[in-house]
Amino acid sequence: MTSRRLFDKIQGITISHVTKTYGSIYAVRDVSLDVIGGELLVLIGPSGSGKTTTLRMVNRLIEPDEGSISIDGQDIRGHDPVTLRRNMGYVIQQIGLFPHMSVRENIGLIPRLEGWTRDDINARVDELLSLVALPPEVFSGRYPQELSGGQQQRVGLARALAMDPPILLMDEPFGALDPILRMQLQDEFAKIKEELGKTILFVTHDIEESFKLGDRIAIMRDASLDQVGTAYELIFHPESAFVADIVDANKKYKHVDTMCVGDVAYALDDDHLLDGRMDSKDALSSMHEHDIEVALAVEGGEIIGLVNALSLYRDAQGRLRDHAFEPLIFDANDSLPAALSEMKAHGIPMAVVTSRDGQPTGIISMNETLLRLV
Amino acid sequence: MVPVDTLTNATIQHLTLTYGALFFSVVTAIPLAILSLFSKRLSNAVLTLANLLQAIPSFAVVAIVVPLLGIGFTPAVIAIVVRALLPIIKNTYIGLKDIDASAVSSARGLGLTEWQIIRYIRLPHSYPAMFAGMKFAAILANSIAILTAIIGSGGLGSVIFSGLSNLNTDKIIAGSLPTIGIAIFIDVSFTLLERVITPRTHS
Amino acid sequence: MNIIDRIMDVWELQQLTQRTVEHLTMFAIALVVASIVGIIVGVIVYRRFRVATVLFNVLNIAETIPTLALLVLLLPLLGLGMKPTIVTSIIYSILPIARNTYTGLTSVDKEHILVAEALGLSDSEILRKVRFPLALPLIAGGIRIALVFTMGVVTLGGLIAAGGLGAPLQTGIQLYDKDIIIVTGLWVGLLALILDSVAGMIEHRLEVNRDGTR
Repeated sequence: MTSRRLFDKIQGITISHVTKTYGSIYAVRDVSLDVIGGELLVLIGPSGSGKTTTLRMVNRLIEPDEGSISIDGQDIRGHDPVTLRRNMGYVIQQIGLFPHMSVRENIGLIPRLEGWTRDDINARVDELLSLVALPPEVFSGRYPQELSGGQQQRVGLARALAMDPPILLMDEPFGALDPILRMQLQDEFAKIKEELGKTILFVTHDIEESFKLGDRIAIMRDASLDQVGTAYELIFHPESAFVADIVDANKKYKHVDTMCVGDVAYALDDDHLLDGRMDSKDALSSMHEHDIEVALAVEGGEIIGLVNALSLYRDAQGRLRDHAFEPLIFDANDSLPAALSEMKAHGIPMAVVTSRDGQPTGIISMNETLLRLV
Repeated sequence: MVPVDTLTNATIQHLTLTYGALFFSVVTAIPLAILSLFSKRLSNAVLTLANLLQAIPSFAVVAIVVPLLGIGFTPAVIAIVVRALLPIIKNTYIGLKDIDASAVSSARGLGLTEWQIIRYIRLPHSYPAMFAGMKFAAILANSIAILTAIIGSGGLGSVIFSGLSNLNTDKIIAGSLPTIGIAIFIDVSFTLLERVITPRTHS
Repeated sequence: MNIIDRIMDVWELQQLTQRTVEHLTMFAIALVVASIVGIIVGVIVYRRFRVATVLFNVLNIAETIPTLALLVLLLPLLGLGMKPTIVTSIIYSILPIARNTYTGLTSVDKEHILVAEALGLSDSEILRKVRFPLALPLIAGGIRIALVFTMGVVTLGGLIAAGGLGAPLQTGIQLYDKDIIIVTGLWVGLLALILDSVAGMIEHRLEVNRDGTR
């Protein structure tokens, strides 16, 4: 059977007053949550807090007793569950690769059921394996038992992406991996995520993971939703002691008040300073060469702006100065909370740090800073 | 019609044959299974033989006994034992062997001798598997005990074969039905026995 | 007369080639039918859980009935010969195949089913693409048990004029001819062992494939 493609890029998922009980126990109780199209929303909370149940209601593995879930305004109950699920990727901690199928067959299963030609399937599988950094010629013929845990989870992700679904549901995908491997996969996934531009609902119980990957974080407790917000909002404006406790605000962020910008800034060296008049392509290759994500465009000792490799990569036309955005500038001795607040208020994730004489000495990144404080 | 006397005698003979063979099988099989614990070579030989013999048709086993041991009640008992022995050995051995290694080492640590470990730890643990093997052996014995009538063991099989020779349906039914009753009795009684003897942890 | 001559003598006089063909014909028919029916029963029982317990209890009892008793009790219905032999073989063989099919289909890991559902496989696709292939080693195991049963029953068929290798065995016993008994007996045993080991190899192969280690 071939199923309809329900949506290409979605505006958002609206979870509205959803309740699910098992006997007299609430698994999810009156949860309302908007997932914005294109974001990665993390659902975090202790076990039994209802995060997995909430996730599984989105692809109708579990049907809510009350309330409704809609995608782009359409109630998901209006869609056939099988069709709906083929429009959503799904990755779980246990991975669940089918042991009787090779890597290629696992990833190509749904395309095959959808009636794709063999060539199309093979091309798609190769593309996905490359995306998750597994050389197809090495891995496509292997069976799940011949893969390490990390490789299995990469294949699990590739399989979830087979139909290029606009929505991805992930249930503690890295939870079973050892810490080093987990960090590595998180880093890789953070990059892949940017390329994919998908709307992702991500369940975890690891707060660091949620800070690292999440655009926004929804904290759940006892089947209810406690607070939704960015890492910054949760850390600096927790609405409950529970949220503060989960983000560890009391313990770890107290000393933040006494810190200044210079304490957390990345030091700049000459590699980070690029002439604003140079060609964008040359600038990009220079940044690649020095393994730099962010650089400062300068002209005659004046700071013109910040540039980042990713946006250059997407559109490397013209001169570097055309791609620079005006940075916030802080003195190294400015208070850190004040600086973060200002960055937040302007919606700019990066700022330049200068010494007293106005010379740029460092760069500060809001997300990186929050992460380093954890 | 078949005279009641004939049928009663045949049934008694059949039961003697079945349970006699089962008795010999059990008293031979359990020590052999225990001995197999001590020798890898013995256990390999026993288990391989068990698997091979299980595949050979009973009729072939019963027939082969004739050139070796002649005909009559005793060769029949031996034919049945050959088939019934191995499921019991195999199951008992697996039951004895398939035990948590920590239970054995902690028993050793408590100061139990090897024999006491078998007597108090391994043997009770093997009961469920052992009884399953015995039940299977008993049903097999009941089945083969009919067949051995062809080599002169007597019993209900004789009634069936005599019915078969002149296609006397009455005789065939009179000979068969008691064996089915006995089969069901074996099934039920062993299931109950197993439940009584098995430690609760296995339920 | 040397041994080989004596064997050839028995072989020709008892027409063992023809008997073997008869034997294997009954065996093959019974096993193929039992496999098809057994797998279908297993799938039906998997779909209708309540039927499972009842049906398996009935088949369990059937399984304890002495083979020869069932064989002769079918005579008034089916007459002498191949027919009751094949039917009896099938009756005995359905249970192990159906039970193993059912167990195989139901014992698939929960996460595989969860993922299959979440990927958007329909129920029948899950059955065909996930449950059934994962159950194959167990189904093959069931067929192997049935193979042994069938060999046994088909040999007994010789006693009710079905031909096959049971017939010369019976002749040998009645004539008290040791040569016939030994040659035929060993041949039947060997045949059974060969078939069982082939089945064992197939079963093992499937298990290994399933583990993916090949």
